Amino acid sequence: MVVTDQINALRALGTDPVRKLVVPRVLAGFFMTPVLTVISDTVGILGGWLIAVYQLRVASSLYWTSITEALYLQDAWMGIIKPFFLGYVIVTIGCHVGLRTSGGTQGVGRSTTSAVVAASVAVIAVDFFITRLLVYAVVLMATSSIRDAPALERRSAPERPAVVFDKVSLAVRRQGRAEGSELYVAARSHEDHPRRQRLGKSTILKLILGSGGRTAAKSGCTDRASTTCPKST
Amino acid sequence: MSEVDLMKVRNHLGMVFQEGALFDSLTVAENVGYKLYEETDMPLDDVRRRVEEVLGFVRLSEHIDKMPSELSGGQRRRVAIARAMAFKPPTLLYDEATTGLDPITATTIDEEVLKLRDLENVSSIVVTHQLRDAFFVATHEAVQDGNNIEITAADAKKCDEAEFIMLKDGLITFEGNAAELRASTDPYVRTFLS
Repeated sequence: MVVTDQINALRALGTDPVRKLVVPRVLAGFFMTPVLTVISDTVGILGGWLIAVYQLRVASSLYWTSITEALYLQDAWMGIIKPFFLGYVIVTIGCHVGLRTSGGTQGVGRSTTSAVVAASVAVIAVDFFITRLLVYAVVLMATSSIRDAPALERRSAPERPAVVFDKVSLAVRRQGRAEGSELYVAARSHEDHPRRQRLGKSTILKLILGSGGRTAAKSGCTDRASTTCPKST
Repeated sequence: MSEVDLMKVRNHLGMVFQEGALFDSLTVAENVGYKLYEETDMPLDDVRRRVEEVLGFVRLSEHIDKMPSELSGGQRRRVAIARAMAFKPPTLLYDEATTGLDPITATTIDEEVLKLRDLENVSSIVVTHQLRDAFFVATHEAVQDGNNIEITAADAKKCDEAEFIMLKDGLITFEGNAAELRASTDPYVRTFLS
């Protein structure tokens, strides 16, 4: 528009070129770049799935599980916040260079190249500073929440138990004198629990008793787990 | 002057650029009515009527919904003139309005300039290096007889009203009417006239 005098025509007709041309573009870049980022992230993840499954022969479920495990929430937030700034920078640079074009059609080509180069460098630079700022903000929020929050509860029990106790019976037998009680436990572990292989019945007993050292000496590992409680004193 | 003050001045000026400078993405009607649509509160129907009126003045009514790329060079200049006069400015600036056009089309543009000057009372500043067009505008006038508009040779008094200013290296080298220009003995003027 500059080389064909359309910008001068706009001024001659009483219209501010910045208000008419620049502001809508800056607003569009500011608000739509995050949307485009989400779309491109989605396409990138789908593309990675295609390559992983069909070229690298990785299991599909493993790919999707790895994504959810590897992706931190703060990374996702940074990926949404940064495009606002980057979109503003890209569009502003493009408008600035475009409105200063000179030299006819050759000048248009030069301006296009200048805008792309300047915007690319600016994206890298702005990305560095925004990342530092966001990381600092995340650390600041995390430390303040740790400082202010009560002691964290320890969640040791999985949502889904590794072992289901099919039958639990407690028998107290007295043979003339109190020799303690016997606890019979029949346990069945979940077939598809990820820690199934490491959770044997002797381990269960240790868990029940809450310790490992003392019961280990007294527990046995048979189909039907049994142990004797310490003699009462 | 600040840009805000300049905008106020521009309300009284219309300008015709060298290549027309029409907005490529708008139709002829949207180009001609641009200032009325964007910068005034005129009702849309009134704007449309004014657009049709000025396009009729430059004899391009049938091209009202076309895009600028569909027009010839001369038609684009005439649409540019229509756009410049649509909001009835008291002064019009023509920047090489006939440069690059064939003589017949250039005469058409000159006639539009005369019609605006004589029938719409628009003061015109014409920048050109085409002496033929400059003398044509200076020595002719538009006369309206009912619905007919004729371009006729102007009398001496009318010719005196058209002032020539010739520039050389940023300085004014001649000021006067058409007859004085033809009679000038300045070497630069003589070179230009020959």
